[in-house]
Amino acid sequence: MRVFLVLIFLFYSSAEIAAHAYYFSFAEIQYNQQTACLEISIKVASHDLEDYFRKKVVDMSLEKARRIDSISTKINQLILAGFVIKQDNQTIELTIQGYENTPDGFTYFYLTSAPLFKEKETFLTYDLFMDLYPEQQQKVTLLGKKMATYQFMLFQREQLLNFNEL
Amino acid sequence: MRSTFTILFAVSTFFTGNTQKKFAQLDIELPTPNSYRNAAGAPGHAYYQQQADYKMNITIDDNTQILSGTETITYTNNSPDQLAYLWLQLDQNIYAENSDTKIIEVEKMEDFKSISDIENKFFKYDGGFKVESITNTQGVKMKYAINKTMMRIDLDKPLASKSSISFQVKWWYNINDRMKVGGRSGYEYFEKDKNYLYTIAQYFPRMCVYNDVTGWQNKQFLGRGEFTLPFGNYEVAITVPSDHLVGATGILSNANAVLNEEQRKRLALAKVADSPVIIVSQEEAIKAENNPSTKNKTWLFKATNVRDFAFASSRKFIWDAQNAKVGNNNVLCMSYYPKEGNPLWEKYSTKLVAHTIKTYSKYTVDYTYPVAISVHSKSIGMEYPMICFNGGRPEEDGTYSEETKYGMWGVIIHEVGHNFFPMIINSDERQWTWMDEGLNTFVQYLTEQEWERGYPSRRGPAYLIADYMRGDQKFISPTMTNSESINQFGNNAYGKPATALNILRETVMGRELFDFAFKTYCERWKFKHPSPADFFRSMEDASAVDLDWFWRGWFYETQPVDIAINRVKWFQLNTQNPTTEKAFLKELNTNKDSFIGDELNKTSIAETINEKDKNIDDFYAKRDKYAVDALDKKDYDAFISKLSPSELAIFNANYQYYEVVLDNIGGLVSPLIIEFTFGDNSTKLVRIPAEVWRLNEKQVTKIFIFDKEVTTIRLDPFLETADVDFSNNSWPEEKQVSRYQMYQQQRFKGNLMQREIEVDRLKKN
Repeated sequence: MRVFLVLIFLFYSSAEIAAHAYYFSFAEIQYNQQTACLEISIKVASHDLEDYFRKKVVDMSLEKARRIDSISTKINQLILAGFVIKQDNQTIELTIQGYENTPDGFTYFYLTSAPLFKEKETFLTYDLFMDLYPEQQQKVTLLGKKMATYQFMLFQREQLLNFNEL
Repeated sequence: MRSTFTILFAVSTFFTGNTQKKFAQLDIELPTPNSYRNAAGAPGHAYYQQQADYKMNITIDDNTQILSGTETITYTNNSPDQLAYLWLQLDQNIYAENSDTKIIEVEKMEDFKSISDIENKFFKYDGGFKVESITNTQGVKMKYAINKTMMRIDLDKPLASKSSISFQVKWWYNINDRMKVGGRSGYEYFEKDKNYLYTIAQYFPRMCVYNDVTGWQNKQFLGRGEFTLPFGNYEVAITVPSDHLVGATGILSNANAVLNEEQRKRLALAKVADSPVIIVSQEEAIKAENNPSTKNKTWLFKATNVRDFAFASSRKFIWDAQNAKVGNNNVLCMSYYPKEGNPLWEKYSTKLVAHTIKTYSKYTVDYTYPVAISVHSKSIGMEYPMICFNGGRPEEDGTYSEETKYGMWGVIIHEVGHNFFPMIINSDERQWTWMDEGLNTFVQYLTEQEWERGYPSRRGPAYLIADYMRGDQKFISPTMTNSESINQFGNNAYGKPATALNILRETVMGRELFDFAFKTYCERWKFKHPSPADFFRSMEDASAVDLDWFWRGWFYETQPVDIAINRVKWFQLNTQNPTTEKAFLKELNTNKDSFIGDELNKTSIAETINEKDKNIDDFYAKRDKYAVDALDKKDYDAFISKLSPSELAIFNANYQYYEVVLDNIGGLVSPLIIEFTFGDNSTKLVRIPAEVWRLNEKQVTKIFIFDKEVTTIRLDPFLETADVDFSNNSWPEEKQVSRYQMYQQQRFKGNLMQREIEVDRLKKN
């Protein structure tokens, strides 16, 4: 199946987007003052996720995959691989606390980070799905007293997040 | 803290004299009206469109998956122009070796993560049309040239206005494996029973549109911008294995030859039934799967006034149908699906088809075609006249998630809805995706809401587009962008225009005005070729609402709605009553913040001079400036006596005055929807049209007068403007709850139907 990956995305049509594929994900990040951790939610189109999972991990529906622990963890792994936070060139550990599906076709992942100093330079690499979908875009909204939004695309995968102005 | 004021005022907007931009008319952006398309947005008195009629013989070889065909095209030039050559579309050529579609795709080396990723670069599929001949009606070869996905036929003599030409094309191509190569059409192979399911479209050389807007619309097909096609009549003979069922655009004209007596009997029942009747059952389909025929059969179809012709063929098909009455027209609604689609497909597909054509007919134009078909094809959704191919497949154990169900419902409504946009209201898809996808997604939302109360529509409600519109505008394309150059196709061409129309209907125009104008546009352009200006102008022409600001903001620009409450000031009318006002001033003075020096001096200076020497204080020092004297009372009595009874009533009403300053941070001007909540928990909603921003698009000030005190103010309380930042929408400021905070982890790892099975199992044990 993997043999055909490139051509599959080359020829995906607009009508297929209408029905399913979204090629967009949205994340919210909030700094928790008490725990000094980031609280993160990532919203992806369930169809994008399943399509990516089938082509890049194992050709199996997500529903089936989630019932098999050894495979279920791979879903979390692919999310974490596409959402990496660094300070001082060190990767900040992220833990997926859980997920939920909504009937309008989205999957939400909920993550927390290890404690970090929000005053330090914080880099986010958010290239989830981009190796399969060239037109994939993501947006991150930092929540606080104000909001700040960052955009991630094929040629702009990393951004410096600024928590100080929030 | 309230303030008091003494001068009555007029309600006004804040004016800083900035230049008018957001409310400028679209004179420069829109094409000049002419005799083909008039200034009202309707077809002009000289409007014309070309006609392309097809007679085709198509054969599918089920052993080689090759489609071969011959077609006789009769092309009628209704334009006032002579045509020296004709342009045809060769859509399958995006799979050809020299296809631009492959070459223009952007890539990064870091995305080649494995050997198989690199191997994919070398993958070859021999797609593309093999054109064998093009001849005139006498069999003489015609001169032609192929430029990638377009083919030009050079005529011996120009085709004159109001005249026709007929010619024949012979071709073949390798049908693409949809599950490997992708594509809007192709085949799916079922390994378990070794059968094929064909969903066939873009399989024949098709005429390009020639009109007053683009001349020949021969912009290359790169994969996203879909199809621009003239109307015509089709007679199509489709030869396939004799045990296949074929569903197609148009009416089957040889049922006696291809259906058995029982099938014809069931079909007759279905034609008068108001719920689905099974014509070929799952049991019968499975029997066919296991006993494939080696013979062929030819199905004949006719379709009138359609812009394309597609079909589906398989021995795996289950087939059901019902009638739907639309106006005076009986429409045969049908579904074709393999057993892998059940139980979802048998239960819902045909009912969804019937519901969709009825609901769309209500909001647009009556569906006048004789059939409407939904075919199950894994993973995709794609539309053609009278027939569409739709995903939504349950798990192998027959269960399905709620998301799969809603996904299947949504795709069927969407693709059947395409019968109206662009199959009937035939816009230029190659140029403007939003004209069919956006309008269709909007009516899809209306149709979903009439199918189930609270249907979780993915697109349409204003708040759902906020994530997309927020943030850096650099990577957001205006909706008025060519189909191939759009960043974020789905949100831009589907979601944003659908949202815009929803806002127009619910908030800007109101349902009655909007629905009339929208229907007017649809009626004017049914079975014609509308352009964006025709839509914009028709909506204004039929409603008397100047919407140029709306089209500019939502279709020509990218800024989002982000309205913020900058500040709120509370006033009460000065009563002029010295007893009240002087007591109020005294209270203010008592409670005012004190200077630190004064506080420290209270203890550091034991006694001042005037405290020691009682002769220091004079009249001014001893005077109680808050005491009410006779002169104060005389002035008050004089003021009251001058008021008329109506003025006195206002004066005594104890109104509360609120000056609210609103900032337009996002840039896109929007109506203001402001909800005031009072001390007794009652509320008042105030709606202000977007024109409030006409003199200053950055900031406005409004005065609101109530007879009780306001405790909170909220902007956009019904989530109807697509405001991208709700953190600045409240006074006093309200903390926004993040998604994370709302999250509750689900414990069960399967879908809810599987959970139910597990519960049953536990009960039994």
